[in-house]
Amino acid sequence: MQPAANNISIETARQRQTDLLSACTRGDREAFQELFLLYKDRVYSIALHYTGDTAAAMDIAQDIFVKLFSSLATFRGESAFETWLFRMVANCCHDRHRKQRRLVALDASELPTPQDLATEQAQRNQVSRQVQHTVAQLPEELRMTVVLRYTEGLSYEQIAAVLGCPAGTIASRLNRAHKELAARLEHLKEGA
Amino acid sequence: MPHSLETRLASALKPTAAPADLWSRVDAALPASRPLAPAFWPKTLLMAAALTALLSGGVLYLRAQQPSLSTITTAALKLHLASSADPTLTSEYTIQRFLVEGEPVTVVSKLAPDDVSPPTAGKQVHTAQAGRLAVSEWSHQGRSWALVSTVSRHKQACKVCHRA
Repeated sequence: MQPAANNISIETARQRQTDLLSACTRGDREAFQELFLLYKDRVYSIALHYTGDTAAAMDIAQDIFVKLFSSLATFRGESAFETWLFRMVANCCHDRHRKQRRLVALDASELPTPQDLATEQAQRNQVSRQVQHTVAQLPEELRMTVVLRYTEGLSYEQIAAVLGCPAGTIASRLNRAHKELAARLEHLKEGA
Repeated sequence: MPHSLETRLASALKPTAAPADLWSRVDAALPASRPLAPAFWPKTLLMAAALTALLSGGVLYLRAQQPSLSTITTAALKLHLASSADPTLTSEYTIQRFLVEGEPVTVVSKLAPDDVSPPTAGKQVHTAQAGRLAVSEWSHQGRSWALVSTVSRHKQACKVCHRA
């Protein structure tokens, strides 16, 4: 009986999303805030891991939701709403990258302090920050693919739908990204 | 390596909570009015405005960008007025921003100076023709422009046609 219950749950969630999107399209601000709460962390996380910069991620997330409020009526349901939304995020990140054309350094305030380094947790955090920094330096097309794969956990097919290219291209990009990251993070092999 | 690369990536790139003040920033930036309902401002009205301008020898520019809410009837009126002006591409233009079927659209007409640079100053990236109408797209100062005009007028200004 569990699969049937899951199907009902999925169907209910879909209907709720459809109702929510309809309300947002009519200009219902409360509905839009609800939509914002549902997706804010996902939009922000993609932007953060793509740019490696908290301020830039905030700007991108703000732009996305403002744009979403005005352009939601153009969503025709031809793809999943998430695919459509993430495509908007990817395009916004891409536009920002084109305008800036520079590497964004990690915010110094985010670097671990000596006290932090004393703890095992801090060491794990430091490794994560090195990985994040390295990802943020990947070529643009590889970076967005990696972020969608590991932040959102999307399949090759889902990433392909977001970025508008074949799944084979995504597999190839991930392969290249893994090789680049493995080379740049070689020194972590010695650690935990 | 005790942890695989994929494990490290999944751990380092895991979703992060957005800062608490994100909503206040979004809310402050949202348009004061509700977005226009798509059925209320159909594209046909925009096309009517475009045709009014084209039949009178006018020029219509469209550019997608951040919307501001206005009415398409104002666009039609302004385009009608613009159609009597000399549509010289190097002159200055007035920008009107609209939401048409939920899509942000900018109409640039030759009425009065505003903050727009002539699109012909940029790099022309694409040209297409359909019947009596021609569409040219430019990228200029990081913006994307589309010019809709008659084929004959298009050929007067089109850098690609001149090169050919």
